[in-house]
Amino acid sequence: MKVLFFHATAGHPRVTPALMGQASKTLRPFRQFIRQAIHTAKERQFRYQLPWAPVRDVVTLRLERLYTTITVPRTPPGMLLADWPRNAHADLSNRAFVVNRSIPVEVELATATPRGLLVSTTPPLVAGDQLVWCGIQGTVTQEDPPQAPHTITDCDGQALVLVGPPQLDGEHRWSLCVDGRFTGDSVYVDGEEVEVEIVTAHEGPKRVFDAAGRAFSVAGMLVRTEEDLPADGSLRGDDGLPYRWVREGARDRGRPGYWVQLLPPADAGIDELVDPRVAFCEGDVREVWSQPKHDKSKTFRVRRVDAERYQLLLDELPPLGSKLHLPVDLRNLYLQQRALQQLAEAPLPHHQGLLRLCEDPEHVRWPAVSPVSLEDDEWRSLTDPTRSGTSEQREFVSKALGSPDFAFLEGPPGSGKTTAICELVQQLVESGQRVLLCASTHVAIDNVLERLLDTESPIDAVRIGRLERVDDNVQRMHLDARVAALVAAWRRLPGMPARGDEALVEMAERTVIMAANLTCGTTMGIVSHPLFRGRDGGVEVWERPITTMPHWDVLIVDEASKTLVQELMVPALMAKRWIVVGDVRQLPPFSDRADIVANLRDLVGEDDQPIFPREHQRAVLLLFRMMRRDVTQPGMRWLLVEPPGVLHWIERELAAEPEPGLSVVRVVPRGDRRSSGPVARVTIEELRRGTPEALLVAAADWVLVSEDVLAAVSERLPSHLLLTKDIAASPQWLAESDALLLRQGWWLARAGNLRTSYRDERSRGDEVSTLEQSQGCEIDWLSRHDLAQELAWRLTRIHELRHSRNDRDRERLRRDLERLRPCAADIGESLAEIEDIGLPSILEVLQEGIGAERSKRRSALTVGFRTGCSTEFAARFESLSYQHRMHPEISAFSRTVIYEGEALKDANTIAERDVTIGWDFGRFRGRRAWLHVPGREAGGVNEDEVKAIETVVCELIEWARSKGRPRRNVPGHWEVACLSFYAKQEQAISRMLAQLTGDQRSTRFVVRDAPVEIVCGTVDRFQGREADLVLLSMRNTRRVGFLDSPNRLNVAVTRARQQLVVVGNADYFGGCRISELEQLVRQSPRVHPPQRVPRRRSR
Amino acid sequence: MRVVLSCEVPVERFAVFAEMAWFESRPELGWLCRTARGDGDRISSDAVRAALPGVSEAGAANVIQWCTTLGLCDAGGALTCLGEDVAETDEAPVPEQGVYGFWLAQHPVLGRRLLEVQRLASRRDARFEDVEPLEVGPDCAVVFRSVLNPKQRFVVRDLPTNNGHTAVVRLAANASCRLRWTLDFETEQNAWQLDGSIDAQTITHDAEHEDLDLWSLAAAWGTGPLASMGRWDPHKRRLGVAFGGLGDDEQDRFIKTVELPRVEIPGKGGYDDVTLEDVPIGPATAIDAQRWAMARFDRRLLAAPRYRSRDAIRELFVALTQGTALAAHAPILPSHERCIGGDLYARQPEVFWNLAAPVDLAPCPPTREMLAEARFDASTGGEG
Repeated sequence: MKVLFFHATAGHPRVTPALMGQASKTLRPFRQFIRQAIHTAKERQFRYQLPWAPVRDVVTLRLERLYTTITVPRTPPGMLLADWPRNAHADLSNRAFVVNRSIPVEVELATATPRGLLVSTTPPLVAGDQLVWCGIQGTVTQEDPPQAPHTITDCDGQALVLVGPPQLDGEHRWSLCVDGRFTGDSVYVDGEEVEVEIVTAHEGPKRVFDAAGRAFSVAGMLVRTEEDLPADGSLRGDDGLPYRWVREGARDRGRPGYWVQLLPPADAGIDELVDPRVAFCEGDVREVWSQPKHDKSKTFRVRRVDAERYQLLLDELPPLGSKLHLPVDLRNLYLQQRALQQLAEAPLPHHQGLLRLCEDPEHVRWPAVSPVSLEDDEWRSLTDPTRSGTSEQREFVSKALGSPDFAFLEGPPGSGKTTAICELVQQLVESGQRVLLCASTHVAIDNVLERLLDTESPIDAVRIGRLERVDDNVQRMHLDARVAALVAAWRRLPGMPARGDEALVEMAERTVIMAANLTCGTTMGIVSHPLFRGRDGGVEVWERPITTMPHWDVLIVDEASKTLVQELMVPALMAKRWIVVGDVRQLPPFSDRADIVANLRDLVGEDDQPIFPREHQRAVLLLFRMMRRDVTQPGMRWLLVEPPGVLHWIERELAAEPEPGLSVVRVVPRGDRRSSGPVARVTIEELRRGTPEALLVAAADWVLVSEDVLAAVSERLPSHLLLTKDIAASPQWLAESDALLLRQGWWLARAGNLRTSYRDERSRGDEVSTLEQSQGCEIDWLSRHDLAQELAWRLTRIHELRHSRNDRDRERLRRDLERLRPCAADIGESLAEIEDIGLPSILEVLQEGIGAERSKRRSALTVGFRTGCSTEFAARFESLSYQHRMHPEISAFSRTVIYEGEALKDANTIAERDVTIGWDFGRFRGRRAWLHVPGREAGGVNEDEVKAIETVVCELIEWARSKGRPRRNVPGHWEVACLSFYAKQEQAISRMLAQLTGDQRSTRFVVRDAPVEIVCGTVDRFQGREADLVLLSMRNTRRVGFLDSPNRLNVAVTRARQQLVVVGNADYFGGCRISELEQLVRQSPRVHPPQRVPRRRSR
Repeated sequence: MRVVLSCEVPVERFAVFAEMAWFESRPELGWLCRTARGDGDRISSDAVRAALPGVSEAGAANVIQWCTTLGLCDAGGALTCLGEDVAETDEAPVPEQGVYGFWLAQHPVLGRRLLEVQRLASRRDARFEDVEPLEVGPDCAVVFRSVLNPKQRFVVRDLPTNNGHTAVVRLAANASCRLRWTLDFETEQNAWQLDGSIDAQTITHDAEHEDLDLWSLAAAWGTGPLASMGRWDPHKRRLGVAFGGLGDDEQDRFIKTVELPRVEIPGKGGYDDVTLEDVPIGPATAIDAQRWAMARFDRRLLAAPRYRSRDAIRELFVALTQGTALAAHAPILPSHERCIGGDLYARQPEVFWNLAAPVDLAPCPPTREMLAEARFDASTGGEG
């Protein structure tokens, strides 16, 4: 009853047929894409296979604090007008003006002191402000900060021992750690009685050390160790505080199973962007297999994941020597398929906005947006109007609250998107609405959630996803944790009827969902929500809708630049309104090349029948490769020995599009001489008899011989043919002493040089100058490549370069793509689907479109919302133009080169932060510097860059030891990120850091006795995160590789708060002909590697 | 008196986009509603936190909001009938939207009742020209029970649309449904049930009853379809009929089965070809009563032949008239002479001797008064 669904959804009954038709046409390619992906996934079954090793006995220790954290009041330093004349009258009725910031302020209090006039204003002053008040201009200075508490006693006069230095807890309180358990309400601080707040939850240590000096990593107050237990006595954390440990049970008794260590693949490509181990550890991996095909007995349940060590806890130990296979996650694909199916076939009334995306932009009628204006005291997070960008953030929130359907927020890195989201969530929940918050990474979700939990808004949140992927600070909001807490509370309830465990858990789960007005999860992980879980039990039931109610009022999608349209649809169908947040200048959705390759290898039509068989693919690849000018020079003739099917497709391809000047002859069995195209045919008998037709073979540029007849004709074939395949390696075709092999070998060795030597652009070897080298080069290339790979990497590269100023490469890739497409079959639609649907994000699609010319009908999903309905889009769109993260010298590059001055302006908060935080590390001549390392990449690793990074990290550690902790609330340590564009380089850096710090984790390293935490990763995985110091390893020295993607480069250079150091060969990149990279070299002060600091393993 | 009314109930089937709610087990909501009963019949924040400890204050507000959405309480938190239902059954309505096939029966007894609802898949398409407006929909917020699976209960929450026009597609009903309604006047009970089939499945329906004053209904019928057969006495709840035409059994049991072409139940519809069983009857006049009494008297003498003294005869007559509808008319026992007079001897010599011999041969002949005719007081049973 599709018609009734659309009748209820349409704005007017008359438009129902049109709406139905438009939805169907617009969504058809999306559905075909998913159908193809599912078909491929079923064929392929697994995504990665990795070697593994068992982890030695793992013991879990729970840490308990041997101290109490309390906070006591602190009087913050006031602001002084030091040069205020003694006899001047301070009239509070006069308004004052801050000249340098051009803002009026109200003076609420003014007290004369010997050091000057102490003033308190709204909004507050900052040191260095030039204040004009009562006709007097003066410079604002800050009072000396108050002394930290020194002597603490309880009410009985007993001294409390401080176990660490007092820390600032915001402006108005001191945080003190006192030895032992303290439960009082007040204490005496340096003789003055003050009230006490006891802190029950706070961040624990990252590492603890036993009496013998051995270090143990901590996650969520748990220590997992494969080694012996800590020595007797208490432990000391890297926060300087004492702990004791309690053994949770041998071999994780609570979670029986076996930990296995995932090992890096031996055959990994040097250009992989992501370590395949990440795929095993991210997302919602539920099982792994010990063989490539699904077999229940070879399936192992994943109970837990340790992503920092790349370890899995399995229910059983797989057979030793086996490889672990990561199954393709069909569940998400099925959900996406059902979401698209529902929107195209059975939409609900609240999907009207989503369906408008499918309508013709010229005819669609978007409802008006009525921005909600809020009074100054109604703002919750955006409270400071003097902060740069607040007005833009407020504008966005007003639009989002007043939009009946979509709202869009575009914000460059560090521009305050998270704050804007927090404000929006607070406003929504206070008006009684339920919110679903999604992002592509756990970090983005947890950042928002953590901040929201610190507010007073009536938020009841539930976090969906794997518990171990959720930040420690918000784990209590995890669905499982909340359910467990409810069940525990209910069991104590005397009146609660006796119910089984399962029933209680189900009740608690429903209660948590019913009570939550904020649900958070990654875009892919949200499908673990019980609302989805309950409904995809029977994936065969196609007509079962993905949603039957608008369970949430608003869906907020953060990091939408990494979310595909079809991924968004799954949660989007469950909401009534949609807020899309992101930045099209950052990384696009992660598209696993292997997935695209697999799709292309098995292209099927709507009837699930193959449309481009493998033999046809091989034929097209041969034509693509062997028709290059380099290999069609005079004197170069080729013998193509292939299966009969491949030769058949070569004939058909040449018939469909003949190649002028290329003479091709195929040797066929007796009597089979019919050829419909330009390929001549010669029978074996004609060759044997030496008929005139046999001369064609001697004259042909290409001789095609099928493998099954090769032996029959080998001695009749000319010996001066170059080979495209190592036929000697297959003894079933020809004997080693076959005349052809001997004669051809003899000829080849003496064949001499090419008329024009060439260099294969992707070959890292020497120049190809002889016929023998050319044959070797082509055999090697053709044996290692297939058409799907060639298509896939070009498709993804074209997409990556869409914002690049370098048109030359894009056009070359487009030309290559044209040549890689078959003439005898139409795969244009399939390629367009991958390009238009498998690669661009929802944000990109709606803002920029995918090109109307590639769609059979116009809609916001093809031409873009912004392009098609600019006025309506503008009413829903807001862009943030200020950034609050980076030092101005760091942001300048992206601001000018990537955003062309339109965004990433430096906020007025940066200067203030820079003054207070105390960063003065390094000998770099600017906050963005290029550390010139003329090294060499070998096997995917540039060791020289790794060493240079190690040196800088060592310097930073020394600096941090002497500098102490940063003067800010959180994080309480200096953060360093060592990034690379490639997984192999990342692994090399990771090994170096493990050795340097003694921390055996793979991605996160804590330095003992220095307030430093180092993370290591690829740029692709680091989007959404930031660090004080970022060391970016370029690795490549003779080719640009993937570094020319402006979006990836933008992400890479916008992660650093205080200092960005690009490590690479400045000479090479300075002339690499990629505009953005050349500018980065030019605009970054160049420094040379320092003298290496002797490696000192962390104690 | 008892009557079984029955009629065909028209069933229509159509597809419509609706927001339904099926009742599913939700013990936590049942628990909450029961707690609310003890909290002034309100689902308050305190009630939520008492029933479901561990829920935050913000969460409690959301739970109340959800309960309001489900219809378990009103905007102020006061428990509704649905909330009471949940408290009793631990089953709560779980809402969902979609296109459903409705089997809708319409009858004054049923109202517009959904007999069965099926979820329809989107692929079962229909042509646009088949779409027509819905004139009257099923009652919203009424809890229906499936007649194919009586464990299944549901409500139609809404017929949502973005354009204000609810549309349906009519489908072949493939159903038969009959209402059988039993009215038992003596016990003052009534019960009705549906039977038939839907999509070749037998209808299972538990009997329901209506709030109906049966004797008022009888009185109404007395002036209506029963009027041609006698006069209904609402006080005596009896139909006064002429003696002529009554069968022996009807005379003896004072009830009669009546065939009526049609009856009406005010507000509950009309029913054809009604058989009204065991209608209480009595004589319409004193003459009818006398004839009726004598007919019963004669039949008894004939049926149980034995010698009867005049005393026994008088007792028999009293027994046959007193406590019956005849008593009100005080029928007369003829004198002994008249009892044996006429052609009795010729017609029924045995009866003649049974009456005459005990008087003629009595050692102490009965007094004249004893032999004279007698009328008995209806109230006392004594001689009047």
